[in-house]
Amino acid sequence: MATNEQIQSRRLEDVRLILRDFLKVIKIVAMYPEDNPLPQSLRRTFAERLVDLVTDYGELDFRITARDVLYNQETVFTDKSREESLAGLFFETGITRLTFKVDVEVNDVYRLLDALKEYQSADRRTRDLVAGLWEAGLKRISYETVEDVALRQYEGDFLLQSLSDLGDEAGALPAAGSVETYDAIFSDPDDPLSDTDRSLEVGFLPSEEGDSSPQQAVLSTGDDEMDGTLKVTEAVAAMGLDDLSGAAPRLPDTQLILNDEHKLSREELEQVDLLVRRDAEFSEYESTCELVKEILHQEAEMNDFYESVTIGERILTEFVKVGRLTYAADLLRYLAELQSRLRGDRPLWAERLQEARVTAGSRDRLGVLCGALNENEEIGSIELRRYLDNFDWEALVAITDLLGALQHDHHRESVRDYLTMRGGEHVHVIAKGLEDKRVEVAAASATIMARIGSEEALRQLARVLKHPETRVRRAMVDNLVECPNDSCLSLLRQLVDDDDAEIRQAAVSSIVARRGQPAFDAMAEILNDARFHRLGETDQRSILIAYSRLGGDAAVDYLIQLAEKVNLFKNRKQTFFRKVAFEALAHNRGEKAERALLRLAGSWRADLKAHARAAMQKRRELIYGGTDA
Amino acid sequence: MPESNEPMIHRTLAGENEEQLLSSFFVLCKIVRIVDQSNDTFKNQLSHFFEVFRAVAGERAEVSIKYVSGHYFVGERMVRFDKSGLSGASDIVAEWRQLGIAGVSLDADIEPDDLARFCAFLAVLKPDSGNLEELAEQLANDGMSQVRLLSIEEEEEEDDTEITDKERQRFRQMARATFFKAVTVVQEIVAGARENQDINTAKTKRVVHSLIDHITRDEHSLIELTGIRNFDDYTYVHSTNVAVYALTVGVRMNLDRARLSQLGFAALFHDVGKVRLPQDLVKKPDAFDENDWGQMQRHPLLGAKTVLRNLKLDVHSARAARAAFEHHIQTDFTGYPRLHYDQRGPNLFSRIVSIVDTFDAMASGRVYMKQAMASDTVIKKMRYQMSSKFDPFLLKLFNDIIGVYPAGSLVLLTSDEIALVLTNNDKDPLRPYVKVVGDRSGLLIEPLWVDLSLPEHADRKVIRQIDPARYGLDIRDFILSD
Repeated sequence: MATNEQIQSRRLEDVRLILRDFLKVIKIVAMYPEDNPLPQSLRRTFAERLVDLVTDYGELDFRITARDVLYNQETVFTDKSREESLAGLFFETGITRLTFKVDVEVNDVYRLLDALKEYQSADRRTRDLVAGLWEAGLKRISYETVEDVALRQYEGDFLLQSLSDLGDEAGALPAAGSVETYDAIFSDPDDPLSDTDRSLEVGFLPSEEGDSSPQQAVLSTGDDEMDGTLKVTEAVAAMGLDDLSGAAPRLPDTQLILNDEHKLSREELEQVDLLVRRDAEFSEYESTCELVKEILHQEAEMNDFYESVTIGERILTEFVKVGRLTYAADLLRYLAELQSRLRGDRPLWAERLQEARVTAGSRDRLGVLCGALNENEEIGSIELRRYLDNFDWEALVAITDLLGALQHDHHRESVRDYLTMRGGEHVHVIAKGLEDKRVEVAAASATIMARIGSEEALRQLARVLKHPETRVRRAMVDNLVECPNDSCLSLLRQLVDDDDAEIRQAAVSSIVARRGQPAFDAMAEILNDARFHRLGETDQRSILIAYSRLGGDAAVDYLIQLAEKVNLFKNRKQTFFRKVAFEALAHNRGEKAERALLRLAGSWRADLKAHARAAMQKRRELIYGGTDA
Repeated sequence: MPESNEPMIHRTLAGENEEQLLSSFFVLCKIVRIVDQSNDTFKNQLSHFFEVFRAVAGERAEVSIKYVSGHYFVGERMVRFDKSGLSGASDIVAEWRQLGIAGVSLDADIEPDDLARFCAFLAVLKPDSGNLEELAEQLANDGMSQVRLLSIEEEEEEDDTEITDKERQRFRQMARATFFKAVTVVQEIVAGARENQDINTAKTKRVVHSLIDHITRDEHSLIELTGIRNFDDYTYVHSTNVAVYALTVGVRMNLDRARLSQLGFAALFHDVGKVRLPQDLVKKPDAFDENDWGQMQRHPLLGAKTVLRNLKLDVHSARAARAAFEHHIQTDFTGYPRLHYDQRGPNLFSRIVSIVDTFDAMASGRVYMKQAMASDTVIKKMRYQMSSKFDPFLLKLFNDIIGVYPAGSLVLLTSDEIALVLTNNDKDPLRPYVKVVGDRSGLLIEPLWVDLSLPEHADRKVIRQIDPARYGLDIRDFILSD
């Protein structure tokens, strides 16, 4: 049978273990996203074990010092370092006691862990674990802070001191008053607080007596005849309650309003409930966005207006920082709208708004955007585009810069789309990115240039045809596929000669995918170039077929030449070209090709004859959709 | 969490099971009004109810579900009912109250069929269905012996008697510490705002949480402190008073913890804009000219700007900025500042702050005027002369909370005594719980703590409120003397 010491020792050991796990779980939960199975599983296991421990041993009441956690006056955990800190985590926010009560449930532990996670990921300037724990609404886990201890030990002395500090005109608590004073209370018909006060009976008419208050009224004009009631009227007017007048309804006697009618009815309670439900939809971002817009309208002085704009800029940055781009976009749009409205009458004010919008697109501010995008993968492309759409050309360089820092593909793609759409008139600005040392930026710039596809953009792209980074050239060739400008064929022709096989292949694919005479000319040029033979057979085949398809009759002579070339020694390359030439002729819809194939089908050279017949059959399949019987 | 080790006076907060049980019970009561007991929806809900019921019942012989003194209870534990469940429950509870029913008590071994029959029985009750005794008899006749109806009178009496004088005093002492801590925090906010420094919101939130914890358990001791209005630099205390009143309203509205925290925070900041006005203007002893008023009326705008400029944007600061900006915009769009961008009405928190700010300003006679008004007069003016300015439901709710002689009021009794109101009495506003401090001959050496609602004090009730300043008395002597 275990002795008391053994039981106690076992208990301490269990508590030590659970605290060690507590720290481990806190760290892992903070590190991983919520939907990760690892922290979920650890959380569950830990919470269940903790609940079991409390069930076995009863309430676990921990005292916390700067470095240690104590249980029953025994140190059960000591922080080893800042990274391995459990006591410090709580103590630094003023928590000196943490208690898991007997009926603690797993959900309570989850809430505690959630609050700790939120605390650890919050902004250091404003985070507060105690506030977080309070808001978590822990029911069976309690904590105590140094402030709680101070409040509990409070005996009232501080209060009087505080009151003196707050300014007691008399300097000390006044005397309690004489017997006469007390007697007067019972027989004073003019006490303004009395329900029988005549001024109340006539609404807000001035009373006949002067102000008996020993202090000078804030609203007093110095006129002795100015009475309290009038001051009240003025004061309530100052508070915006300015329709109080003698015409206001008479006040009922207090005794008359102490009835059930005075209380909230069931229907009225429902209305209160409705207010609460509606308020649940409050959004701090929507509310602040609307408030800032309103504030921008409120000032009449330029300096005050400038301050409002500065506040608007601050809020805009806050929106961006937390990834609320919809509201940021909304605010930016409004700055632009206001700017256009003020341009005529108040040019300086409009200028300040313009400055705010330009600043929002600065490298620094877009750096904030980049951080938010990288931290919030869930921000959608549309949201991002709507935000970026508010910037003018001045922001293009900085936005191009983003391409090198964004971590998520859909954000990069969105920025590329934006720059493609908006960069057409400012190609030279985006083109600067082609020279960026960061490969991502250069490649993305090449992508955008290729997508813009204007003469200027293609001219800029020509500068990076020999870019040392394959990714840049690759980006260019991949995106030239869709370029509607035939001038890009010049670039593609040159890329056909690229050192990188994949780029060569992509260039060929781009060329053969195109239509029209310029594409045909480009292909003819490639075919006539000695470097054509450097291409892989697949590319060569693609070019020959495309050449035939695009060229029609004009392509036939060259293909017949390839087909008929004598190949006495069965050269493999010549055999390949002959085969491809016939295949290409099969794709040619011109009559000349038909005639040439007919002629070759009657050739005495058996291989030509066979190839020609096969090609004719293939051609008819392609043209007419079947064989000719 | 200042009260973590304090004995709860009468409101131990319930756990999730109790919350679920309460919610499930009222859902059952609602469903049975629409469908038959054999309906699958009802059966499913009944089965869900019993799952939770067994867990809550545990070793207990019976479990009660009741609504006492404005709060829901399962057993003796107070349930903070969330907003989703309140709507249906309030209907049912209101009907019960007409019949004098505070709630029901269910034996732990009650069978589902019996409960189903009982729910059906409750569903058909009408205001004229009889008194509690008759209903109990009907239940017995119908063989429903495992359920009992609880009487409002008995329950509320029991609820009240749980608070001892000693506990009241202890709570008042805690309230003072919390209240003046809040005043100190307001001072710090003001100092920070004046110096254009970032404001420590963590500290502010903590003090708001302390206020909420206190109000949840005993609102009166804090309201009593709002009665001290004769400070030279009243702005700090005014903001604290507004926070106390606003939170009291919020607690009664069953706002969740997060929103209560935001409401208290917003209330503490509502007048922060005044720090940016010239201080000689704010403290100007003479009459304000048109220019002065013009400047004074800028304080909501300046307040919103201060909050947006000096606080990190989060839900607390967003609420605070909104309340600071809107607390003088009335529900009929009078007031200030005038809206230029969007004519949207003030939001819920702004409406609450507007009401309690006006009340405290008018009752104190210190914020805009030196002429204090009695709280009942202020209430009457707000309800009968300025009613279009405020949300009528919130105003009525506030009035329900503070009554006409709020805690902290000095009143004259029919027994020729002067007393300080400690706890107002919902049922009879003229018979609150008071501390008798004096009579015709002067101050009592030992104040008397008297519950005027008790039969032995039938000869004592409130005649009217007294303005202590008028007689050279200081309210602080009475509020802080014990």
